[in-house]
Amino acid sequence: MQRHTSWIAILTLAGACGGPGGGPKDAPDGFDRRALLTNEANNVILPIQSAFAAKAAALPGAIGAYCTALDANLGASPDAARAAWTEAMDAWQAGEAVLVGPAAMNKKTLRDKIYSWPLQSTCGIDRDTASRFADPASYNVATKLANVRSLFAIEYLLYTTNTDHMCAATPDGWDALGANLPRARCRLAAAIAQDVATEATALDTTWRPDGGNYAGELAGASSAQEAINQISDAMFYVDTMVKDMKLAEAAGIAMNACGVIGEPCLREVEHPFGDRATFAIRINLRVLREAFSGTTATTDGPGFDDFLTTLGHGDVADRMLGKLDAAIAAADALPDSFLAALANDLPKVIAAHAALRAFTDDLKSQFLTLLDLAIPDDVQGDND
Amino acid sequence: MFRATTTSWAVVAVLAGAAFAAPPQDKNAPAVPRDPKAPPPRAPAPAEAPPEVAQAPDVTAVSGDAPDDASPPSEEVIEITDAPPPGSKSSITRETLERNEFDDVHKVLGGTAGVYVRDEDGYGLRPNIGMRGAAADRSSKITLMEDGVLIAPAPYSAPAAYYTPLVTRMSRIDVTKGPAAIKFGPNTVGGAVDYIGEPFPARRAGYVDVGGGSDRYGKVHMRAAERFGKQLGLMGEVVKLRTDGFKQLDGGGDTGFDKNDVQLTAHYNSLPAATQYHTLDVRLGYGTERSNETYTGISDADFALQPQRRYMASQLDQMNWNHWRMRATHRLELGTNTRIETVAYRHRFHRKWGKVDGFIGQRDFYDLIEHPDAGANAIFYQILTGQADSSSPEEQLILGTNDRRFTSQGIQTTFTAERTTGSLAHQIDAGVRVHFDRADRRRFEDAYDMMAGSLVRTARPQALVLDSRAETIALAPYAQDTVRWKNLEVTGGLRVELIDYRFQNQMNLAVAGGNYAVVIPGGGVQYHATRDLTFLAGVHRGFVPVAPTAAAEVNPESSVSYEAGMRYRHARWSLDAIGFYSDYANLKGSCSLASGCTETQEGQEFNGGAARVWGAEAQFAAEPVLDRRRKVTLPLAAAYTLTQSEFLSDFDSEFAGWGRVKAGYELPYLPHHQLSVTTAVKTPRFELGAMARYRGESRDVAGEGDIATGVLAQALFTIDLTAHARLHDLAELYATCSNLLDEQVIISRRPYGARPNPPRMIALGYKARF
Repeated sequence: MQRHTSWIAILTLAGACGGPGGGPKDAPDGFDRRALLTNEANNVILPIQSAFAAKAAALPGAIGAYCTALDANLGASPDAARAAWTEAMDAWQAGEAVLVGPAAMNKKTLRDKIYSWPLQSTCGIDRDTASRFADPASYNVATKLANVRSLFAIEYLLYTTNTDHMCAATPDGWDALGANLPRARCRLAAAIAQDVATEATALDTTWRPDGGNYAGELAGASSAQEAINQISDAMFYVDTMVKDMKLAEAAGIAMNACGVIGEPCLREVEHPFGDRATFAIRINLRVLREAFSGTTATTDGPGFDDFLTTLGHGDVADRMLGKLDAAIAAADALPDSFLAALANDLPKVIAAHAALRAFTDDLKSQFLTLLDLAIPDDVQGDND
Repeated sequence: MFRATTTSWAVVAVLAGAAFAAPPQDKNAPAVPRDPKAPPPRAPAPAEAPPEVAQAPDVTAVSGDAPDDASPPSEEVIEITDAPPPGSKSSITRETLERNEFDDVHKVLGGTAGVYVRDEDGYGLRPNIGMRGAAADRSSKITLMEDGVLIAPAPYSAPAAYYTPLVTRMSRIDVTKGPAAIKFGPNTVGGAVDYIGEPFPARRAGYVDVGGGSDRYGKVHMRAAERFGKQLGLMGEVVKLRTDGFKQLDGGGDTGFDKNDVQLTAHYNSLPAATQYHTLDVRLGYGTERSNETYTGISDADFALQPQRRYMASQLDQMNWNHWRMRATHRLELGTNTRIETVAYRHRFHRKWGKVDGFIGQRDFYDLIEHPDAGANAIFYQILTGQADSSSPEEQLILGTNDRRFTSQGIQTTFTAERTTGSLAHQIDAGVRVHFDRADRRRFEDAYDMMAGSLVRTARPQALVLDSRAETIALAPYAQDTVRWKNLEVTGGLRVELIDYRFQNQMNLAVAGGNYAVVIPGGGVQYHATRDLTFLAGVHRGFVPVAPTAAAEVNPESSVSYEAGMRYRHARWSLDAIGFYSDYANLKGSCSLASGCTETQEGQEFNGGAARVWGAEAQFAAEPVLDRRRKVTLPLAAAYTLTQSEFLSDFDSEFAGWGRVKAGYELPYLPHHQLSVTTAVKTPRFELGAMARYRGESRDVAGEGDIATGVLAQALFTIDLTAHARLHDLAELYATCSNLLDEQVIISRRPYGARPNPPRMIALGYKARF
């Protein structure tokens, strides 16, 4: 404890007021913020939204075909439906990493309709499975909470093959499903897939220049700096969701729902049924790199690294890109099966977490400070 | 301070607040029948002094806190206070306290002009009191005292006052605003509230008050004092309060509280003939509370259906605290015009409040309850209300336990003297206080699943998320001189706060500290235009220290406050009308969970920049005699406060209640209008009283123009009734009905969600004294 031995003999009317810091600036510092916004909107985010809309549009048909096959043969293969879900899911994981605009608005209402994880209620899905099968007209996906719909529910319905329900008490009508359980699950999945496709199309439309033109709105925002802050907020997905939840909590690096440090916690794993967590992490990080660098497979525009470099912090930009590449490499080194990684290659998961943390440490400190950006509200309490 | 005789300068009866003026008295008659043991009387007041107005004879009233000045209940009693220096001082007298039988200090102070309260639990368990624009949050901007001693758990290191003395123990509550507040630092922006406990009686005395009422409300209050010879005495006091609470917990359960308080006072005084008259009171007190209170309010939609509802997830919420207070007070009367009072004190307060205040996946309960249907909030809302079970780790409820230990100790000396030099009469007040306080803050978090309406512990272990210590030592001298010349009084005073603070985060071993000094000047002028009419004006510096937990860039709250007005004291009625203007160089926001901040923000402070608050206060009191033969009187009292406020700069703040502020925005929880009107029909054996109060609407967050529904704290109009029937000279029955109209509105939205004022409540009681 620091000791103070003397009084400061300042006898003054302390009228000083330390006013809060000034607001964001479109400062004439030589960096074209509008160009960054245009590039991010048109070349990074918009293609992701469009790709997801296309994959989501294919999902109802694929699941519907599976349902039809089940009607004829309860032993029909779900592989095609699962493949369609995988493609849609991967496409959405790209969007998760830069969630800006309509999907991030209104407390991420639209995002949660498309993909609700980590909010999930398998018991609720089981209830809907039974009730919808008994009375299809009684089911309206629009009235359902996010944790019993979305791509998460479809995953659960397509990948669950046992006959167990996940509720404390047996849901009404569950026992009556009997052998029809796969059909009931498939029909519910199809209904939800239709909703996801609808939401995906709506989202893409809001972004497209021939639709809501949100991409244009973002690029032309009245405060370019604030608009850039929206994108940087979205980039913190890799900190709160990828680093902390997908890696740390699942691997037992941080405290989790299992209450044990040092051991994997399957309750915290993303895609526990489809086992796509490794792919999700890889996609998240690659898209983050695109957003950070402004560079995609087909374009090379201004990104945050250019922003830093223009302000005289090219060394920071290079260092962060290097750390991000190292994190991507660590994710690539994970087994494709994340469940297998937790069981057999935990050090690789820990290494991936450490590599990503090296990047997010810079993201939360120098990146924000040098670019005069605010940290997202939900990251304030981070004790890293 | 009470004195048992007229002073050499202005002597004013206690009229302000909700106090009632007295029926006409013979001004030439002796004011108080003196106790033979009391110290010798002071010099008579000069002719220019405003007339004294006597308190009506009242069986419930016993004279003030001067040593050994208690009078037998049947004797005529008068209450006299020091004439206030320029500024507003008012007292809620014993008569008023006992007439209304309020246990809630919010209600007690609600009839005082210039005081704002923000209701929270409906019982005033943890009051939110502000004055003249000073924010009400946990009374952290005012100076709270008991018998002149700082009583907040750690007034410098953790200004949020989670402890407040029991109103029922008090004989009087003094409210000081304006320049007079500089006598009572450290917080001088708004003013000071001083709970005055029972003075030691002159002879054997006893008191019993037993009551019961709505929601299984119960009160037992007993006090007994014995004298041993002429110089020694012992007094014990016990209080128990309880209720099952008026909130209705989903699924059932107790939402009330149990409070207990015991106090023992040993007393010594010199022989009455002594030329140097000493008294020594050693007081030891211990209080406890167990209250099933929550920070969680309800949504507007739920409020519309059932205002008293409490969500199922708050079923385990409970506050437990215990409070030790030790105090030794020595008074020395040197002749007739000089008094020295020295108090050594030590208070310890330990509280643990466990309450749900978040989900793993949604830490912002305020947002959740404000927008229960928005996005994923709909999921959390269903769990909060028990309509759905927790089904994923994100949906686990966090029950955060704020475990705090506070120590507050110090020694203070005040010196009061009256001297005359030529044609000038001086009233000199000076004092010094050395004070130390410490706040040890720990916070634990436990995770629960909502399962079939019950909270079930999860596998997630208890997490310690906060562990810190803040300490402050402060040296605070002050001096004030009031100089009287003919009809003019000029007062000048100076307070200095020398503050040394330190803070250590035990989680990461980060250390901070510093020291600074602040000079707080104040002064004013009173001009007694006539015997009845006085004009006054004053100016002083307002100051609130920075808590040790605040970031380095946070500045103390600082203002220059002005007031001007008039007082009229007639034998039959009185009127105070004072305008005030507080010019803030920096308004400071202090974060607590109670103010709506998140758990990670607690203890943080924020600059709000320049602001100004201005308004007017008016208080009127009278007691016309309806039937002199039957001694029927009609006491009347009214208090009105007009308040305007605005920030003077644009800024973004993380402080809950401010947000994105633009110049011109109003401060939160400052109603434009407050009005209280009290009346009664009083006879020697019966008294029927009624109190009507109106508090205007206010805003939950800074803003301008019409207040949006979602951030509206609604206007409230209530009527309270009281009835007292004297069985004989020593005992009476009483009945109270608060909120007669059963009006229920959203009185507050802090910490999380809409909160109601209490519904109609009825209580009956019996009290006796000897």
